Amino acid sequence: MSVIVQAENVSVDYGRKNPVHAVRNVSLTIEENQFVGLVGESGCGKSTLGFALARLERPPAQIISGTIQIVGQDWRTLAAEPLRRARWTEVSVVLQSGMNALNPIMTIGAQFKDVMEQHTRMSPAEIVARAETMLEMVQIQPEVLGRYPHELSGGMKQRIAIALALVLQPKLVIMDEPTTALDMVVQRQIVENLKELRRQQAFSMLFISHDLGLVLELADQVVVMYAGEVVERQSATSMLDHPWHPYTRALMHSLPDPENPKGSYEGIPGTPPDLHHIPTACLYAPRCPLATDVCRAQTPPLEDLKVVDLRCFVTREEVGVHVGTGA
Amino acid sequence: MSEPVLKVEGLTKVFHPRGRRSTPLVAVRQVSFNLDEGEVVALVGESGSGKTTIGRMLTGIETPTEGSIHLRSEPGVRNPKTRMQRVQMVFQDPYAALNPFNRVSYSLSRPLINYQKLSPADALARARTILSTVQLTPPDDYLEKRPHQLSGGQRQRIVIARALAASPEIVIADEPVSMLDVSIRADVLSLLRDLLVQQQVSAMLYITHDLLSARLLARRIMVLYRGHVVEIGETEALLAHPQHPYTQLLWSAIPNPRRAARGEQIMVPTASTGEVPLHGCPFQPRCPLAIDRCRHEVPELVAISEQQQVACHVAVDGKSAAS
Repeated sequence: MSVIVQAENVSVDYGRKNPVHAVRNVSLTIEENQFVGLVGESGCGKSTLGFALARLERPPAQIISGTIQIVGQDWRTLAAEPLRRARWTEVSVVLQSGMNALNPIMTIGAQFKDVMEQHTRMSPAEIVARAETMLEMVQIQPEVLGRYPHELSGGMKQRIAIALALVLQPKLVIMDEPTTALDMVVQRQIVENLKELRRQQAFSMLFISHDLGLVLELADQVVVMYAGEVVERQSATSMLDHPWHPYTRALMHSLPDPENPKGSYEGIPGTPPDLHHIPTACLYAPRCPLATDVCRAQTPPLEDLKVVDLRCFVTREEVGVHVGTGA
Repeated sequence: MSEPVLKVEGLTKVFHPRGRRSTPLVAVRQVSFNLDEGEVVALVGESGSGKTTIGRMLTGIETPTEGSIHLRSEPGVRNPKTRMQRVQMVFQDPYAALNPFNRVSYSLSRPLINYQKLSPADALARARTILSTVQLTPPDDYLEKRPHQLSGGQRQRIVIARALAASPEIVIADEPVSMLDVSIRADVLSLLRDLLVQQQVSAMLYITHDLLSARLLARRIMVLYRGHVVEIGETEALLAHPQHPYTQLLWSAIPNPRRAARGEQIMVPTASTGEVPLHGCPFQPRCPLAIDRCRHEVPELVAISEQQQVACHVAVDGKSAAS
């Protein structure tokens, strides 16, 4: 299976004087046709990382180190013009307010035409046919091509944003909280659309969300970020039964289980740390019920423990026992 | 049983949009329900279901086209100021609900001075107590802050504190956690439930699109579709056996990785149509079970058990055929 995204040790700062170290040494691999979910609270750096991968970071954000290989090209050093050409054809992006990313004074059809004229040599008839196919995939009537964004509901606009992102069959789509502003039923519709789109048109996805339940349902692999770092990475099916990092467990516990009405749920006490100064310690230790003196004195490394990549001094021992017993 | 805190009967709101497409819009149609002492009722539906309009009519921000609202058996409190004091609202967006120029002390003192007629000094003392109630302690750390100095969760606690400052009987919480980070939602919902337990308020209407959070907070759930109450019942009975196809749709829409891992088929929503049909069931254009009768006759709420009422021809017929 070929690798679509290979990011190594990416770090992003905000500001130059007294910078906020928003993302630190994050490595991420996304394979062909793989859905990777990226979860964490507000401010954990998940969106900053997504933007950096698409090279959409804007001052004061700045990629200070690391490499980003996407489909064999070095995106970190790519010049403006090749980058412009590669965006949308190789990598496209759907934002939380994607519905507001549509141009209000252009019809939906004109926006499809705009993208396809920029990046392909398709004839006007081919463009219309392709746009109609894309709308059909997200269950929207072709008549909508003649409409303006303000005539459509938020859910329809977001589905159109997804159709637009996929129109040039990019290798990778980065979705940043694409359903957060929407109702449950519309979110379900989009999730089912994405599952169906994936069957019809192979593509990889980085799905950024704070909703671990949603990510576990949709993604193949889940990456959990806390305070700018990856703290856990494993397949969604194994995470569902064995979340290892105390933070991942807390996230799972912060919303009720739809299958267990009597189950307890609680918020995560405390707040994430200030990322101006990174202490030598586990950054989650102040909020962690399992924290020991070691956690408060040393920085845990992200370790490859075969079944999981984990950054935790305490639960790494549990993983060892789990693997040892062959459970 | 004691009298209900709030009794709503036949509540209807029709909007008359200006402009060329000026067909009247029935946002809320013949909605009746009670809020009993110490009870949380959840009003669940999508955008455009009329749930916020109901909340706005109860607080007096909107005037009902038809129907009555009785607070403690007193027919529709006419004086809007009295109504606003007795029915307070917690809004969805804590960023928009607080004036960015005002300090917390000012936002909390205003209802205390205006409604409770407290002196400024007494108001400040009471504000401290209320801040402790919403678990912002020590209160003096928060009194002189402005909204931008607070996190989203803290701001929502201030909005809740401000609602409490009016000493309301009823709090209407309109999507109070949907803008908040997942890690703090549970705590804000627990706080709201504690207000009932501690008898800070007599009853609460919790407005949401999320059945799962409704289950945590509410004793009864009322499902609204396009201004119609389509199902109402006691929470666990309703969620164990949702009868209306729309309730089933809402329930299956909740992300559930375990169900997905088992490969279970779920009800996939069809696109919603723009217009509500003039005759028949409002859900009929999207309904997989619709029969001919659904296109002609508006289903009314029918009790199918002691705990549950549903407005669906198919569900009700199925029940009576089975029994």
